[in-house]
Amino acid sequence: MEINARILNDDGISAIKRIFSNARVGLASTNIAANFKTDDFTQINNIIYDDKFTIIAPDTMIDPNRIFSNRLELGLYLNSVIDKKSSLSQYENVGFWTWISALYLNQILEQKKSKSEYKLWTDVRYIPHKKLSKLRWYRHLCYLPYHLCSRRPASIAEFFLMMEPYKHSENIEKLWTQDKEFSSSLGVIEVAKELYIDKKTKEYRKKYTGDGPGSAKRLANVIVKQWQMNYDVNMLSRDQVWDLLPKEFDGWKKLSTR
Amino acid sequence: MKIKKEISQSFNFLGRKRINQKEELFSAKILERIDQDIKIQFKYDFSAIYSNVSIDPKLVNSELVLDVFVLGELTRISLDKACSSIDHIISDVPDGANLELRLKIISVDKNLPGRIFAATANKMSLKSKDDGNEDNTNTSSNGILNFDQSDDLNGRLIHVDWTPDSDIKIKIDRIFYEKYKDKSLFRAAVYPDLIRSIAIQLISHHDELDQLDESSSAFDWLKYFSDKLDIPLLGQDSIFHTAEITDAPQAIDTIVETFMSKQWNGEKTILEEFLHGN
Repeated sequence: MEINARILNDDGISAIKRIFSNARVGLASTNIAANFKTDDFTQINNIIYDDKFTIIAPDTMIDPNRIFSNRLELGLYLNSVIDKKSSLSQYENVGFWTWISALYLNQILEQKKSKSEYKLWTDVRYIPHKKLSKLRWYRHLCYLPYHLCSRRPASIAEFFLMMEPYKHSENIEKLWTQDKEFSSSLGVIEVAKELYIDKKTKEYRKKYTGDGPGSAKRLANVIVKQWQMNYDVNMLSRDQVWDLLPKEFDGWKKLSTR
Repeated sequence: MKIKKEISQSFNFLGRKRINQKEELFSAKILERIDQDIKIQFKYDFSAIYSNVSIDPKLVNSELVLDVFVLGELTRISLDKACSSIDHIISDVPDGANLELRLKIISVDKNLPGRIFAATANKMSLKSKDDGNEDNTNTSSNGILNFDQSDDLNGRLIHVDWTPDSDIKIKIDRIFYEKYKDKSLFRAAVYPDLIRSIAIQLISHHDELDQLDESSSAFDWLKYFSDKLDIPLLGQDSIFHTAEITDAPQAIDTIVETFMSKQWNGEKTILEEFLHGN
């Protein structure tokens, strides 16, 4: 059942931050995930529907029980419910995107083996900064899928988002943020999907973001950059990109099935 | 459709020509921002741009285009031969996001699809209407050489650090600085090590360079190397790519060599100035 989406006020944002902060007490490093427990979820739920901490977002209904099998589904769904022209669509709307994170928190936190606890990382994954931070904004686990799906065809967004909703992956850090012409070229991304995603299992192939020959990292950071010398990469078709790939990609080509 | 396959290695540009980033060829600035929409104005001299790269538009089936990238999203603006200026609104630009521009002459010949005949080497930055500094694109060297005097360098003349805010901090031995700062020996002794240390820092943080905050001194040094030494560390003509880490020592040497061989004020290198005086 759909409900009205909400926007956390300053008190609500502070309350969420406090719960996160308490969960991290005693942690030696931000490289270690904190344990987020059932009680913590209860506290979060008590805040996100409370009128003291939230206001109703205009004209936006959302399904709190929706289950997402990957980040792409999350991005596509958020696109279907958030008006791109409204202020809700903006990263700097801290209250809204923190509320969205809190609403789907059990899906954007990875469940530990114990099942009763989840992994909580740094705030930047769940709470936006007030001003867009060039090194941080794309780490927000809900905003990034929304942003990608709102500005790219699903066929491009798919390459970057075929993973569990709680994963901020290397392909965002090493591929999507690295080269604008790589991430915006439909022809390049179509080829990348064929090379690096197993069509049957829908999983990325092993070591595709590594430094080895023909890896996606080399495609984005070296090969496409070289192509930009001579080619209007955004205009290249899938077949043109395929033909241009140097020999180091032959091994990956053999793995692909169109 | 098949296209001709070509080898494209680091130094093989295969005929793609570089459009110089000069005011007389083109300029871009932000006219206004309304919420998340930014109105940019791009002034250009169509004939001068083609002339700059020795391409005759009558002989080559081509189009002059301006690509605008915002947070990875591309907007392509076609530049008409009959005009010299175009205003365009770029939507969904969050406050704090960079607008990056690249000017290209591309093929529209069906036999040469996707080919670039000429392009600017780097993505261009925009002039803000309200920054009050019309010449800000050429002032990257101003104010970036800030020495912190130190007594803790253990025999070294300088030490260069990269802070979490991407500022490059330069510490210098206090006694040496006070004694020699106004002498030509100072530049000859300090600058090679200084430039090498800064180059090492920039290349060590290469993955972060395209996201640098423009208020950081690392950004200023990056622009300095690109503008004053003509050594880009980003973009299509970068002399270094992260995936080719073994090239780092050579890239660093190139930067130091270029800096030290440059004749400042059109007269002498730093070493010549020290050896032969002003």
